[in-house]
Amino acid sequence: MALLEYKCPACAGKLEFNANAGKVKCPFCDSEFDMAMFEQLDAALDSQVEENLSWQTASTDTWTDSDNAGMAVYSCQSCGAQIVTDETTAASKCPYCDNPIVMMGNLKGDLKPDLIIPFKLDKKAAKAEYTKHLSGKKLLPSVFSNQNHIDEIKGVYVPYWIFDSKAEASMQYDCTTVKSFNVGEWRVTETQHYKAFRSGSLEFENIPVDASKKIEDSLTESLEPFDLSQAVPFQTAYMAGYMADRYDVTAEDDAERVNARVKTSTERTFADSVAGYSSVAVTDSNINLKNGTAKYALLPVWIMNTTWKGNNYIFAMNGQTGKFVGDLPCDESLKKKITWGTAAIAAIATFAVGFLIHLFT
Amino acid sequence: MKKRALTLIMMLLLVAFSTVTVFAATTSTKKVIDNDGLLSSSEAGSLESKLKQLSNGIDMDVAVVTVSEIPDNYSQFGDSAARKYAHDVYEAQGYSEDGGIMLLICKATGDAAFSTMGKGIEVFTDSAQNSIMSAMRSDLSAGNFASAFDKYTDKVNAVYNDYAENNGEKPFRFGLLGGISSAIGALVGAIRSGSLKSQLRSVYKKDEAQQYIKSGSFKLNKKIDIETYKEVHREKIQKQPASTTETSSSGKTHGGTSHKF
Repeated sequence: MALLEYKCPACAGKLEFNANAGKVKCPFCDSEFDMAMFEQLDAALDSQVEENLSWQTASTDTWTDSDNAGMAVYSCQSCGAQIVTDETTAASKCPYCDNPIVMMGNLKGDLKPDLIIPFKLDKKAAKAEYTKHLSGKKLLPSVFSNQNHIDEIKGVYVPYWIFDSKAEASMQYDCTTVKSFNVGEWRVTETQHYKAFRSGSLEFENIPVDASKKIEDSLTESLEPFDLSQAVPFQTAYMAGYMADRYDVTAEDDAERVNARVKTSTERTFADSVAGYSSVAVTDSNINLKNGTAKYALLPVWIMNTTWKGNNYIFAMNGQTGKFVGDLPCDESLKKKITWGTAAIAAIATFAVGFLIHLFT
Repeated sequence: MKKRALTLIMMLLLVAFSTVTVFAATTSTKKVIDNDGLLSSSEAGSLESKLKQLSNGIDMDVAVVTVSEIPDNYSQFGDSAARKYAHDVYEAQGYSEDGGIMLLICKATGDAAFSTMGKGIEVFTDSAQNSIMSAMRSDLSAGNFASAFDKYTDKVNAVYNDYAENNGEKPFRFGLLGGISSAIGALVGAIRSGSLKSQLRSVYKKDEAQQYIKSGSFKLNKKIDIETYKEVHREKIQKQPASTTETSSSGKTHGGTSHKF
């Protein structure tokens, strides 16, 4: 027979029932608790759910001979990317690493995309955004912007898994309220401890996670959001003039990444409902995903590469919204000058203000 | 632009330093009056310079007066005779009414008495005077007056610093302000260059999916908050120590204590 044990919420010591007082008492810190509180706690704990974060892939459609006709698949010998184009699109370099790519087999049997967001912005818009991206940045080495002219900008349909799900969560929090007041010659501080329970549900839709190993997750996540309401069923006709990366990460492999994001947002949303306390700490979190589905989609991205001082810099623009991202190099010697110059002026000003305050107060 | 800013700051500093004397409340009266000849001339000179420096630093008169006797007309005050005499000597010597402390020593009768005025009453409380006396009692009993007065100087300085710290009134500490200014300068410099460098970064991993929450989909079906236990912490409120005050022959208010050595 299992022996039921309760731990003291104040000191974690083993609690004992005091028959005379009709209360549960901690022999270590002398805290006393009403039985009603434990009944409420038991009831609240009984309705907690176990954590389960699993997904189902909605995509089942595969490329057929008729789909495959007119498509070409290239392989990059350097980074391993597999690039899909229609036969009329000339493809000679990898959009990710700028190395030569070679023609290889066909797509037969591969999973076919469910959705595609067609390119809305053209190469000219991408070049204009690149120029804008370089302007107004004080620490960008001037030689970088003067010497780096990106001639080849490639429109790439990047493979994504688009996740939908309903998250059911059951959360527990330790909370406190703190009151301080004076009683005669004493300063009294009262800390009231609470257990808070929250259960409920939350729905997520259209969370994009890239399905390519060649492109950094951080780069594709920085391009978000995409407006999936503008996505249309996939047709090869949209590929004309563009490349597409062949997916090499399954929805199951991407699930870990999307689960982490869903979990963080679910916890954050539930935590917002625990209000009016001085402190709130999560003690238990169980998140159960229901109806989790993943669709396979191709999303439009303009990609450009440049090499400077031996480092490869990759830039990308959301082909639907025009959001432009890409880290830039830093002029370290200028940074040092600005740091020390600012530090000297701020130190002198602080000293002067401090001295004046001392004199006039 | 930078040169102008530096020039302006230097001018502000010069103006600030040049105004220091305007706020001094100490008098130019001698701080050591050794009527009983307990100190050599070099000891008296050295003590004079220390007390002057201290007086200027804390903006109050800090003085030592030695006498060969307590006049007979003060005998009516019994045990308080030396203290009452000290109040009158304080005024007769013209020490500042805005703030000051004077130690009166009469070797012949073994009396030591303090007289305080103005801000000195607030700073040098009865318990503070007792602690000053404790620090120098053994030297006074042994006749080491120079050493006793050195301890008096140090202890007065320490009592003032404690008072200033507890009351947010701190003496100007060049090194401390210099250190704080340097730290703030370094922080501001790092923040500025960090902010400029952050403009070069636009690629970040996302750790949440907040923007993908379906509007109106958040539903709570359990919202329970249970009081578990209460912790109560009591702390005694510290009371400010006080000074006992009385009036001198002229009717002015003084603080002070009497001691024997």
